[in-house]
Amino acid sequence: MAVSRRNPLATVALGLVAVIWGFPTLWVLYATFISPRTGGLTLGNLAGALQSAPFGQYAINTVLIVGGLLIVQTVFGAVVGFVLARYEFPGKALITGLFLLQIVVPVYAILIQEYEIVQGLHLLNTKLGIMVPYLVSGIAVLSFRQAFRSVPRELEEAARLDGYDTVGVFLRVYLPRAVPAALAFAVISVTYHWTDFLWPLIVTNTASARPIVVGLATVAEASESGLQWNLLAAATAIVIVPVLLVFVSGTRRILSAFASTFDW
Amino acid sequence: MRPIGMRSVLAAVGALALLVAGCGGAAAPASTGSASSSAGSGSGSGTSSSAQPSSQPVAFDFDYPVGVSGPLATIMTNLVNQFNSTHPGIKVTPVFAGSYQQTLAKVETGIQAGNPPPVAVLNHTAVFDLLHLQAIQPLDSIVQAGNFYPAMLKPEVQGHYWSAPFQRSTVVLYYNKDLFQKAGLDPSHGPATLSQLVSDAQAIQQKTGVTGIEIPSDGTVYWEFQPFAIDQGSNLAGSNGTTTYFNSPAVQAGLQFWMDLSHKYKVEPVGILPWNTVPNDFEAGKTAMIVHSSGSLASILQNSKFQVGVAFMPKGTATDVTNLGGGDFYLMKGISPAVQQAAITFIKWMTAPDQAASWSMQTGYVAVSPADYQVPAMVAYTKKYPQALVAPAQLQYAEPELSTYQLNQIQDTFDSAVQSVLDGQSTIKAALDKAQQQAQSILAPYKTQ
Repeated sequence: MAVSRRNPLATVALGLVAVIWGFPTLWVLYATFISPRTGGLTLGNLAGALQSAPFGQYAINTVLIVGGLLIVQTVFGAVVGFVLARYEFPGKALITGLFLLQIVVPVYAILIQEYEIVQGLHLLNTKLGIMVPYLVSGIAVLSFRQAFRSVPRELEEAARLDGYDTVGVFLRVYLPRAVPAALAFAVISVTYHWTDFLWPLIVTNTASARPIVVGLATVAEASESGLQWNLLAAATAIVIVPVLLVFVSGTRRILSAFASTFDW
Repeated sequence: MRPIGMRSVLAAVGALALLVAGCGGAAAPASTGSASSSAGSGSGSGTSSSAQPSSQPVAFDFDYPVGVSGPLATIMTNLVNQFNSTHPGIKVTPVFAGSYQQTLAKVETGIQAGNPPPVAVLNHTAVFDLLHLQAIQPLDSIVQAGNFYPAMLKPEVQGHYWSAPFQRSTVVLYYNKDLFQKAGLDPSHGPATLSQLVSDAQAIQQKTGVTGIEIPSDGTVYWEFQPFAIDQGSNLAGSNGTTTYFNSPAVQAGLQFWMDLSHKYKVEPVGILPWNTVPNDFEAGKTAMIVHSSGSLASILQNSKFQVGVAFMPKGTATDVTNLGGGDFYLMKGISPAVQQAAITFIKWMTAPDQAASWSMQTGYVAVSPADYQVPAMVAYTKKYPQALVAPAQLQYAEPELSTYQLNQIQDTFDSAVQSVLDGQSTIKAALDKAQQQAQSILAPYKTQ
């Protein structure tokens, strides 16, 4: 995504866009570490935010929920995507449509039914209960399906001549070519589940199961008072900095993965 | 994308959508049925050991929202832990449930799935929607014995008290005493009347260059608007949950005054002012007066480098006015007798003077009974911060907050009307007539009940 020629105008324009997009994040960091009274550096806001909720426990929960979901979604998405990409069978369009439908219908449209299912499984107030409605991801299935469809048939035929069975073909020929798709999906999945708030709030009650955004919410509500911006900024920083670090470290790969994956 | 493959997929999606819609419709009555049939059996999730004899403590969940900026969840948890340690037979689990609206969504989901939290703090105004869901039990005995401020109990609905007051607030006027002094005004009191409000604001603008007043007008704008309508002679709604007076002459006059502040007297910025930044403008000395919640006092005192005055709302007629907001304790239906008994004990304890005073001092909410202000710690606190006594003194003039069936929709209807006027997109009469008409059609199905 580099600018091909060093056009100074383009550099200025891109710089401006970057500043506008980056401003909220920079402001969060500024408001977290600068005291509004003295204008000097402070850790008081961060300490105040950390006191308002068990952020450590919440962070561990979030990593388990987000990581667990990513693994299950990716494995299921790759296997089903492979079948949908390479096999013909009756009802295939209907099954593909089912996964598309899952993308179109958000969990909140069928909240009470989802709640009843989780309750029926005795998974209320558990991390698994938060994960249940999301374990199968339509986006993962369709992303892998698309990635597998673009693999040339000749590669598979050559591998079969070399003696690979279906599993071998899947693992050695198809999967390596779906890495960009997996990476792009991982970004979507992680950001969505890292920030998903209302569903976890409704199905969980105690710190043993709750994710990190619930901690943020404990200081973000001010319908009956003025907002303490610095406390809110500090809690926001606690929530976003880990994700931000992951993204900054992988920006290039993530961008190219996106460019090659989302051309359904 | 291959067009042929995708087209058949989309056709299949259509078919599936119909299927899902059908399932959803069928599931809804089933869930309602299970809610009513499970009455008296289960309690909170994972803690339903309640029906067992006294060897095990009675355990239940208590859902609460946070409406005031600060570590309120921690304060609430400490308070509930204190209850648990002084009541060995009962174990209450405090459950933070987001904003008031999110807490209501969580509670309603539980109700519809037959798994309500036995106790919840929800808006005082949620009473009609909760009654419509047949979700709550009256709390007459607690309220009658509680000696609460009468204004907090209004309106009495269907002959019962459905909630016990807990975290309430009023609309007050904050003013910057230093700026009043600079402008040659008496800093010992705020403007008593609407015309004094205008003349004070004009004097301050002329002498100091600082904006006269800011009144927030985004979000639930109806709330800070209500005193201006009540002052002119009518509240926004009646007490039966179905009557609204959105286009009454009083509401029109109140809104006209709001418009005049910006356009005629030019003492308030034009347009929509955000609830969350209006206190910041005040704290930074950018505006001499603001209308805001009594619950904002603590953070305003903490962040202001000048003498902060708190005053009654200025009045246009002979009597003082204000408006109440905030949350109450509710007791749900469908819980076992043992849990119900324990829940009543819990609500009584939480709303008793010692706890109510402590909650008020730590959060900035108005305490709920005159007795709360006699608690020694509270006496010391109000001696230090006499501004905290303005809200309780206002209570004798306080009118109920806008409360109807379909409350979110009704509030949105009114809020949008006011904002369209402030934005200059509509005239006062046209916007309020339309809002009244919309509100009445939303409420029509509830009138026959």
